[in-house]
Amino acid sequence: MLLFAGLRERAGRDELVLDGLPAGATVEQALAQARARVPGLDTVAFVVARNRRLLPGADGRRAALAEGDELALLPPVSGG
Amino acid sequence: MESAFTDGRIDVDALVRSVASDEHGAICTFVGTARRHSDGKEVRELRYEAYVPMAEASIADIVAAARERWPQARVAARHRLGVCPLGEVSVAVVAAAPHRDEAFAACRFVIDTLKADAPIWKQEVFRDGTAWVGDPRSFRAGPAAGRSP
Repeated sequence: MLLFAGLRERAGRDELVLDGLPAGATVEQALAQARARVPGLDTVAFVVARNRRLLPGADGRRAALAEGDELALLPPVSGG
Repeated sequence: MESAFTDGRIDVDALVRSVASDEHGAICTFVGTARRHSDGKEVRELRYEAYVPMAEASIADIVAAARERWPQARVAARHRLGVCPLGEVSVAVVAAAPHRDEAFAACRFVIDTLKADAPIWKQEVFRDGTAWVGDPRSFRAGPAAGRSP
C-alpha cells in the first residue's frame, strides 16, 4: 500500500507491505491493517486508489483484492 | 509520450514550441511559480511529490479531454517535482488553437483540472516547519463517497 505526502510522513515510510490478509480480503480489511500499523492514519483525509484508479466509494472498499493489486492512499491534492 | 514531470527547471519555451504550428494563431501559456507568502507566512521553498504513474495517466486523460472539447487545440503540461525554489516555475500549461478563445479556454481547463484531480502534493517549507497543502475540492470528479474519514 503506497502512502503519499502527509500520510507518508505520518507513517514514516512510503509503502506498507500488508501481510497475513486472508484470500479474498477486501480493501476495507487492508485499510484496517493499515490503521492498526499507522497510528493516526485517519487524522489525514484520503481517498483510495486501486491499481491507479480511484475507488468508487463504499462499494469499492467492499471489493475483494486480487494478488498483486496496488493500493494507494491519496490525501487532498495540491499540484500547480 | 514525454513525461509530464521533471526534477529540474521547466523549459517553458520548449513547451510552447511543442504545440506551435502555422495553423495555430493563438498560444496561451499558464505558468505557476513558487510564491514567497502563504496565508501571511513566509515560505522558503516548495517541495512537490506525485504518485507518478497515476499522475501521468491523469494528466494524459486531462489533455485528451481538452482535445475532445477543443478538437483543433494542441495542449501540453509539465510539472516540477522535488524542490522548487521561490520564483521558479512549478507548473506550465500551454494551449495552441487557431484563435485565442479556444486557446484560453483549453489552457484554463487543463490547469484547473490538473490542480483538482492529478495526484500531486505540495509542501510549503517555512523557517520553523513544513505544511502539506490540500485542496478540499480534490478529486471533485471522482467518487466523493469514497472519502475518509
